[in-house]
Amino acid sequence: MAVIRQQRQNITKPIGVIRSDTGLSEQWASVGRLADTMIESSFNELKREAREKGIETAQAASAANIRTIDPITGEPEAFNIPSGFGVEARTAYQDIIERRYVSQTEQDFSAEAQRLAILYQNDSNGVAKFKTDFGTYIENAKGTAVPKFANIIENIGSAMLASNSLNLMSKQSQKQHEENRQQIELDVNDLANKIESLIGLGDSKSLEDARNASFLAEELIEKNVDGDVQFISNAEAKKLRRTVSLAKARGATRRINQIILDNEDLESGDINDLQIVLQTGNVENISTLPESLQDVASELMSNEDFNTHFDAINTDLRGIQANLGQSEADERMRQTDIDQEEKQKEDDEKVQLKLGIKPEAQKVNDTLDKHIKSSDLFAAQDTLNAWFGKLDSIAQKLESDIDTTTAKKRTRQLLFDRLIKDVNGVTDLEEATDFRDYIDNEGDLKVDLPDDVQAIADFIIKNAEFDVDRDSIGADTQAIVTAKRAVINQNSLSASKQNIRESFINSIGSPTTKSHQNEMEEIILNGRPSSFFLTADAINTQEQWKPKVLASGGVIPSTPVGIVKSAISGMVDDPARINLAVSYFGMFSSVRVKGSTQEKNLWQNVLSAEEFSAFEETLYAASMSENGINDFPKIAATLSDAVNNESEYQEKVKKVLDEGETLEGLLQGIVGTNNANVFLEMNSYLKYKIASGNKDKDTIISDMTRYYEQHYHDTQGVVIDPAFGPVGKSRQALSGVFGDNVLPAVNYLNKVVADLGIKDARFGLSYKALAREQLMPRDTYQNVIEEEIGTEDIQTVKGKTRLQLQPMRYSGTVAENVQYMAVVLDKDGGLEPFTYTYVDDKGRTVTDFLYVYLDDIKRGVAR
Amino acid sequence: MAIPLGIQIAATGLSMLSSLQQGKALKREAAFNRDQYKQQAMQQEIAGLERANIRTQQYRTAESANQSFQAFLNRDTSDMSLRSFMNRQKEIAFSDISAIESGALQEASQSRTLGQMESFKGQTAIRTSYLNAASSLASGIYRYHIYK
Repeated sequence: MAVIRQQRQNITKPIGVIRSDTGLSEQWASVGRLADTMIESSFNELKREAREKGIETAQAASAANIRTIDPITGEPEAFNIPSGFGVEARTAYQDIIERRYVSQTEQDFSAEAQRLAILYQNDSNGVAKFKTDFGTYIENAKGTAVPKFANIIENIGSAMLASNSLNLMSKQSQKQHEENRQQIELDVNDLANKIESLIGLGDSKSLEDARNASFLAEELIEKNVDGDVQFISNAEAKKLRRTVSLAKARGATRRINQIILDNEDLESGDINDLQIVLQTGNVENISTLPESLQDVASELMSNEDFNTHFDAINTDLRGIQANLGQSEADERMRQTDIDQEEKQKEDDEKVQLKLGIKPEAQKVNDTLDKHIKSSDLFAAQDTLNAWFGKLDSIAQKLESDIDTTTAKKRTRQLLFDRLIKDVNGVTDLEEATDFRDYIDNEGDLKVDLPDDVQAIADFIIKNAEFDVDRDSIGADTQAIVTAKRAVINQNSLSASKQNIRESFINSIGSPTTKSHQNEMEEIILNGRPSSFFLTADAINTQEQWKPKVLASGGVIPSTPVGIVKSAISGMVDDPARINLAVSYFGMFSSVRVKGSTQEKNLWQNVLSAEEFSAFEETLYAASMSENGINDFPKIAATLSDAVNNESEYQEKVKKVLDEGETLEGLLQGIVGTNNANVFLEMNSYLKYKIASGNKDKDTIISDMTRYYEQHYHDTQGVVIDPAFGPVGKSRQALSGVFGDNVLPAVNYLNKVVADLGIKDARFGLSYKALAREQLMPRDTYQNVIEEEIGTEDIQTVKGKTRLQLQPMRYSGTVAENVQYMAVVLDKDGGLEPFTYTYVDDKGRTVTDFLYVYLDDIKRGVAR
Repeated sequence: MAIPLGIQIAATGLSMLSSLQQGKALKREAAFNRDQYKQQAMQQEIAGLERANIRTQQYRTAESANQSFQAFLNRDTSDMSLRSFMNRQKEIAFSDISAIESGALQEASQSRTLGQMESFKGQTAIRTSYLNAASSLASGIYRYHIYK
């Protein structure tokens, strides 16, 4: 064991400490930075707004406030900063005001300088005066301004004073120079005018003066273009020299005018020759001109600037030529006017002659008419000859026989027309025919006419111009023949019509005979247009004319027959026309004709069995169709196709029917009844459905079932429809309108009955309907009614006679205003109209049927 | 102008509030740190005392073992050489203990000084926050003077 030596074991180690850092201070520092950012951005915005405010206020300051120096501050008045402005707004405000002040001062000084410049521009001492006045203006402007603004005023004013003084001085110098130049130009022009006038006079003295004036002008130009001060430029001197030479040329052309005045033999053609000579420029050609023009031509061609002034000379010569030509033309025009006046006079006379023909012809016609009436053909002949002679004379004057020939023709044909009409009254058909033929053969036909008629015929033949009058005479004579024959035919026709009408009176008219149909139509129309049967008026007024049809034995007018037949063909698609056809069909499909005890369908007499069947089938199918009668043409065409293409139709039927199934069986499955009338209606529609397309069986059954439910409503003991009586269905049942809430309608009906004083009869819902409308507890229905329903007394309601509504035929479906008649059941189950009695206004006891309209029931329920 | 002005007022208020709240947060952190340093000083004193005790215990154990070993070697404990050896061992041990104790005291003193520094920092932070808040308000008024 060794000695344990002590060693240093302790080494001092650093001791750690946990320092707090919650991050909260950093969060608040972040908030602070955010606030600083917000402050900075909004501060910039506020500074901008403040600047704008300052600028706007400064801009709004009036010019007067800017211009006026405030004596207290020595600054413009506008420099007083509005209260409430911050540093930014104030700085912007002052900046703008100062700029505006400088600008305003410049404007004011400029305006004053301009004013003074205008004031002194014509003053010889203007520059000095300008300096004095403008300097005073500057001093006044400085006024009490502080040095800053006084300096601005001084600087602007000094600059303007210097520039404007110099400008004014320069302008005055230019003005003086310009005045001198204008004066020289004026003097030379005056001399040029003088030269032109003197040369124009042409005498030797004037020509000498003209030469002197020309020297003066040249001297004036030379002196001022080469002098110490050059008032006119070389170009202006050249221009002025040309002015002088032009004046010489113009003076020469002016002299030509005088030469023309002195020589009447000169014409515009001579001036034209002169122009040609000048144009060629050949002096030798001058000798070809008239002697009086030769000197002046020579003078013109010797002008130093002849070529330069050629256009001006030519223009002057054209003017001279035009004036000369105008004078010549005026002379010719004057001569023409004289000729035209004479012609106009002749034309006026001709017009008067023409206008006079018609009134004169009228007088002649009246005279001729008098002669005809007095049967004085000789006098008529004389009048005619005299009139025609006069017309020939007029024709000669007119140098045309157009108007007189027409007048003759009118007189002749009017005379013949009157004569032929006279003949009409004194002849029979044979004589009239002979008369016509005799004239037509111009007398070359042997006829036996009365003497007076013969004389008229000869008169016509003698005076007629058959190449012109034949048609007119032929038409007149034929008219009397036709009229006489028509009278005879009418007498004959009336007998036939009388027979037909006789048969109508005896109710033995023939419905299938066209003439009977036409006669019936004529009777009914009674003067009305034949389109009457194509309008609704015919339907609306049927009560007025239908009895005539029934009384005749069932003869339907021809137009309604045609309308119905057209509709059956499927070729008519006008809805209005289809409606008419249906209306006419309904009108005569169940009527009682005179002498018959049973209702019958008159159309069976008129239409073939196929047509009749097709129309009824189409009607039934249309009544089931979604669009009703509007589908009539489509259904008619489809069913017509089915009839015409029987084999194709049968193929379609086979696709719908199962093996061994019939159409009747299929229908019975759909409607659940074998009611013949339901079958009849639905069968047509089923036939149409099959024929119209390639729908599968399920779709057809679905369509048919839906239509059956939509169109055949439960009668509920209120409505009775003989056609569907046993199945308790009707297309006019009230449930079709009111659904399962028919009781209010029944209550209304009973109120009507009570109001009429009927105490022993009423309407009532059947037990089944009551149960369906949940007006009776279900258990009661189950336990009691089900037993009683079989024993329900269909003849009574609560001990009173049960009334039921029978829809009137063809009064529509529940979508229309159906008319019902109240009926009761007799002991055998037959229907009897219900009658009741009352005392009318005159105290008479009246027995009446009870009719009810569907619209009244709807209104009653609504109330 | 209404909206930017509203933002100015709100943001100035927010700036003031954030300065105050930041100061308060720093003050709370400083207080926490100060307490931490106090606790650290105490721990350092305790740790020093504990190490001194352990060193003393070691010395006592070594002294006892050395004396037993000397006896086994038939050396008289008054033997000078032995005494000299033992004294030297004692001197070393107590020198260590003294160093341990003084070191711990110095570290604790240092921690306390840091704690006092944290206190000072906290007070400084809250004063700074007041100044910043006042500065925000003054800045706001100044800006208003600029843009009004």
